[in-house]
Amino acid sequence: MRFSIAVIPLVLFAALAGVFLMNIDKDSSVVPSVLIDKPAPEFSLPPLPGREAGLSRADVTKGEVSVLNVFASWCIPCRAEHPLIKRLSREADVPVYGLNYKEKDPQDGVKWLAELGDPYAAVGMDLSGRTGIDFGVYGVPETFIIDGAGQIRYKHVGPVTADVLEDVLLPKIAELKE
Amino acid sequence: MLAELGHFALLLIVVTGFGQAVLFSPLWLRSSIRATLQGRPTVLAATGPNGITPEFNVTGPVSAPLPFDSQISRPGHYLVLPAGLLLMAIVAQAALLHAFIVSDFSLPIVANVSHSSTPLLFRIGAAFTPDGGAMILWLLAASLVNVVLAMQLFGAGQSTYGQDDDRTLFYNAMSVLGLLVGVLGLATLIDADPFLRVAVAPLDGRGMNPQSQDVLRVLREPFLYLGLAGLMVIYALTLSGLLGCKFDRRIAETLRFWVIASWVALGAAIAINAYRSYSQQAWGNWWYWDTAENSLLLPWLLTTALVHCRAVLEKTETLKGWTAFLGLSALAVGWFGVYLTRSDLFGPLNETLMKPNDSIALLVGFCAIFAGSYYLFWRRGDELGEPRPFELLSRESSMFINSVMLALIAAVVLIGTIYPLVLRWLDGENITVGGPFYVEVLVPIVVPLLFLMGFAPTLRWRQDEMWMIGRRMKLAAILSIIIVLFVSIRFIDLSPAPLIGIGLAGWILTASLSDLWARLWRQPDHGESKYRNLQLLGPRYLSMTLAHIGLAVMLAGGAASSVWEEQVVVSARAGQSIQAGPYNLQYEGVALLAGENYATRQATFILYRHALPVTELFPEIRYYPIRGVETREAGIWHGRDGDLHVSIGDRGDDGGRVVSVRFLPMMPWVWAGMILMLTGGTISILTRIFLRFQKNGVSAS
Repeated sequence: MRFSIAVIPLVLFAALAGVFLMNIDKDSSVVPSVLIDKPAPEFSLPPLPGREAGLSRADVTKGEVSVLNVFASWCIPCRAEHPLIKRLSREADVPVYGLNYKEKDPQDGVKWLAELGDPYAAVGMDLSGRTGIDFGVYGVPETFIIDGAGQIRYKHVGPVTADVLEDVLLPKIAELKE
Repeated sequence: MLAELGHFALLLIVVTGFGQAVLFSPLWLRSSIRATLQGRPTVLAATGPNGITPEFNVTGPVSAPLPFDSQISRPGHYLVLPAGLLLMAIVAQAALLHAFIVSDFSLPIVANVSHSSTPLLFRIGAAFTPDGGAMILWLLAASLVNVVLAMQLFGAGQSTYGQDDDRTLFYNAMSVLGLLVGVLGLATLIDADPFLRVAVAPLDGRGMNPQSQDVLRVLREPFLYLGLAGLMVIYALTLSGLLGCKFDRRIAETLRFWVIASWVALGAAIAINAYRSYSQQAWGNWWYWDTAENSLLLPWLLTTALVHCRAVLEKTETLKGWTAFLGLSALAVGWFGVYLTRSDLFGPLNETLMKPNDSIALLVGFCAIFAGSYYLFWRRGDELGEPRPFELLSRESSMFINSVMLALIAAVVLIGTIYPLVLRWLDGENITVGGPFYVEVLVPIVVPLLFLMGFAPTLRWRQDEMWMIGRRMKLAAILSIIIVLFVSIRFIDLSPAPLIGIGLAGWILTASLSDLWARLWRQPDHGESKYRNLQLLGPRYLSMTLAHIGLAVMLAGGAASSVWEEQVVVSARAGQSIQAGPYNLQYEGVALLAGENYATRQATFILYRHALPVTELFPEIRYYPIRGVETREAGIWHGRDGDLHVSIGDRGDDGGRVVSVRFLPMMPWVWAGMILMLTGGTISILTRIFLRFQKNGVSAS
């Protein structure tokens, strides 16, 4: 087997193919957020129409672990994950806050919660999407776990499934509580 | 039921594809299979539908007598498998289209990207957007070129090689193409089977991605997949040349149609894509260096290199290894591009509401096929034969340098595309590579390439002299220097980059025209007719000149529009008038209108040029309630001296409407240049087809 420059394409291709094949099992829907282990951004959101309490940074820095779930009535996966958010708020024993993201009409969020049930300790209404940008919201739904000091410790992009809830979110919350 | 029929057809495509790979392969395997089939000749002896007169030489010095040759008197046999493949691909495509047209939501593929309110045209278009649908379209295009290749290889008019007519080459090519179709079909079944049903159908679909709901976007797909299918043929012919250790003029001639056809199809897909981003995105650029665009650009660049190398191969039988490498790599980057836009290797796809899908089978098939073919290239690369020598100053070397530069550009684009992936793999960081990187790295390659492009077509084969080149290029050099001087005096404060762009455009344009001029007014030799010069030009030369002029026009337009662009962003109230370039826009207000499946805020502008009304423009913001997504459509006027591009934004704080108006001088040149290039290629294909049919007609009579 003598050397020739015709081997170069094969070597380069093998190197590239190696890179691609190594990447297959990596789940890139886990977007590494720049906000992980950083303090949650400053925000103060008005309540849903007809409710008293809105949502602000003070709520997530009370000294206990909390969950912030970004949802919208126009988002179909949010509807799918909603029963699991309810389960999360029942089983995790931490406050789950809702961030109602970019509604066309403030009433939409109210109607949506009236129809599907309201698991949230408090809901803030982000009509402009400004707070969502501060949180680095990539696509609705997203779920953040925030520790007592107000640091974002985990972020899940996309709908919460039963597997994600049991294998990732609940253990993470339990770990942070200790 | 039709979906099940389509599913069955897809399965048959896989089986037939692999069947074609085996039956056309001249290995012992095929002979033994044929021997077992001898008892039942009806399997393959069904008469083919074509009536082409055969001119095969059975008595040629074929190394081992091929089983097919025993029945060579009926060439229709060669068409049975390809025709069956095409038929099944049509059935599969028709079944999928039917599911989309009647909105059969029990198929998840339909429910994911379509909705009962989607207009009919876009329900059809939606069939091409998801992975499975795109694969079916690709399979259809591949089966189509499969039939055309079979007719080209085994039809009449090819046996001009007399006793040397070794048909192993053709069997190999058909076999490789069958293998590719089989692998693609298998990848479709494993990754994204479009014909699977769910037990409980949703009441309605999730709607088409509004970004894709556009006539141009729908139109792009057939061109893209026809181009890729053309690359498959190039790959098959190249590989069969390597297998047979015979990479000669004959392969180059057979490749000619396919190289130019793929070049045109991919170029059309790029042009459509560019105009699409220009007219949809509110900020109105036409090139963004994003993954989808790069994955179109990569195969196009390598095909462009191949167009030139192939001509050298046909003329002088040199550059064999390099042409073979390009022929293999063009499909490699094309296939890789398809995988790139489809997988979530590069972070989540922009459609966050869709289920992420990793096309693992497509990737594994890709790696296996190309690892094998590059291995073969390595083992056979040196045995292709000694190249004939040529001087540094010759047509051969200029074509070679040109194709190396094009391949370098492709390499830069490839690196820019996959660099983020490698980096993430190494240290988990996510970055993006954008326009500035490409501009910085590509300019030093592109500038010499364009300079070479000016005089390369006038070079002689084998050897040329410096003083001869100088004499020929004198006029073009003087004219382009005049253009540069004029522009730099007229616009004193111009930075050098666009000046170089305009100068090079002038150089290519004047060089092409002066060469054409010199050929037209050549002194006819004694006894030649007056029209001999016109005859000598030929379609090849004309289409090449047209494509080169098209590139120059596009370059000039791109450089000028980027420099002299004027942009105005104002918060406008009804009745307000906005000045941009020689145009004046009067804003009439915004109306809320209902589209077929969207609501739109449509603004009305009256366009004046020097106080005379020209036209009305209606930029819009569309809201698609099914997906909750807004899209923006710009209003564009292609004027004599430039494009006027107007788009609207949200309502400003002061109650006015944010209006962005851009005047892009010479922007129509960009579009005209693209059309000229495509026209050049199309002329070349059409004359080729025309001549072929003429030849066939003559031989039949």
